Amino acid sequence: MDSTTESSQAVVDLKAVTFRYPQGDGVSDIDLRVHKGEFVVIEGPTGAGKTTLVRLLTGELPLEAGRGQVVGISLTSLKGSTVSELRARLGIVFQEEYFLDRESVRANVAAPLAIDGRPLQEQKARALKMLVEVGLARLARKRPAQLSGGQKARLQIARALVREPVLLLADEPFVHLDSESAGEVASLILRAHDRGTAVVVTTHRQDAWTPKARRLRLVNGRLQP
Amino acid sequence: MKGMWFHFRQGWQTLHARPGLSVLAVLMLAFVLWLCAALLGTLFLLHSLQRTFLQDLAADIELQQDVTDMQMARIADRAKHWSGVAEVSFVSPDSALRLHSTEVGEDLEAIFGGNPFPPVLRLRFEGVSLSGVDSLALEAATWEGVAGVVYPREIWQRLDELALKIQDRIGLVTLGLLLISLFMVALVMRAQFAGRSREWRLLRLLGMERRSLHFVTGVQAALLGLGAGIIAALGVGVLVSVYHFVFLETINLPAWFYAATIFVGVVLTIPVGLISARRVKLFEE
Repeated sequence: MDSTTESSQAVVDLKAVTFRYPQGDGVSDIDLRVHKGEFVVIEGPTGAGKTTLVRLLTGELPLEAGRGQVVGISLTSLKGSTVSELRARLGIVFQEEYFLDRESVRANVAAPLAIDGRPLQEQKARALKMLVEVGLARLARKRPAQLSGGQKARLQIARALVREPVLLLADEPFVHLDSESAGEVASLILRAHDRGTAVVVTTHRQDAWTPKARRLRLVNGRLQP
Repeated sequence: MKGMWFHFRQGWQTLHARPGLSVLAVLMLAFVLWLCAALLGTLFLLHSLQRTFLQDLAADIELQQDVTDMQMARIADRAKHWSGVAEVSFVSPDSALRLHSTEVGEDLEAIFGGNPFPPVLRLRFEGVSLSGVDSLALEAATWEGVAGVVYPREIWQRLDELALKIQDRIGLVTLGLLLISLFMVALVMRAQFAGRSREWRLLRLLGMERRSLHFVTGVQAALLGLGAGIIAALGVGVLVSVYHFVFLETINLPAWFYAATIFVGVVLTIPVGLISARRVKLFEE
């Protein structure tokens, strides 16, 4: 495969990317290429820079050095509508519980579609379909605060996948979960991967939860094979 | 814009998230808008009273004793076509003598040794300013057959000055009150935005565009302003009714005055909302 074809098939392509917080933490000299449909697990201890890397990939943090593109959008000149376009092509599972607290579970799943301006009927139908897939359909009318930790994690997965993204970014998706819930979330992510979605998962756990994944280690802000 | 209804809901929910603060902001702004509307309404009434009073004032073009009928007709015709002149009437020296003698209760002809009053063309005005009358008087004094122009300039001037003074004071008080209340509303809105900062971040990360965030913020602010404006307009209506009940006099504030009260509420709060959102870095990536 020549480099051009390879690059066009990459959903993530970072070269020598660096970002440092004022206090010195961050990531340095990151080279990362993730291809369409690939499954990448980035392991590393707390403070290694996993969340920073995810925030760089979502355009929340600017590149200090290096260059990169995610789902075909360059990270070097991100601004305004390009940031929104980038995020609309991604499915993001956050480490923390981020929900629209006053909206129902179904409305939370439908939120990305609402932001895209999809018709209301389509929003409802697709949100409900996702909720059935993650086993939360009977809780569709509840508020996120009324869900358990595992259910909230599944709600995040449903919201991240409702747009059928090319790339799913999951930042420590198992961090607050017991082993049973973590297993459920892992199987949902695997199912999305089986349907062709590229997946990047960060985790501090070293247990090999999928043989399909390419595993990388992030230590002190540097990526190691 | 994409997802208008969703954005509208988000704006509403920011208000709904902290209802106590929202109600406080609405009531505070409503009170100030009501006060401003009441003050401006008073000013409006003062202007109306001033116009009525000025309509009763007249300017007299005093004619020379030997003025001919043709000259008088020409002067009356020119005066009639002057802007703001509503009516021109002739007051003969005899009728002036009779009127003034009756008023003072003396035989003025005997006192002066003859009729001291010249023939006069009396002008009544409508919607004219003092400077307009000044120009007319200056020009009319040069017309053939005119001896001079007499009008109550001092009273007129004092009325104008009084109205201006009241207008300035009311304007300043209104501006001051509005600024204070908008500052308070801005503080309340900042607290509301800060309270939903996690949700705002989520919306940005889900791909909401910055202009959509502006829209959501604008909706929130406009709803606050609309609520305050409606309450203030109702308050003015109540005030007018109370005035009518107490003084048995009807005040006719035009419908646009009530509409303007609501409109001002909305228009003022939108920039306040946007500035508050910017202060809490709501629009950052």
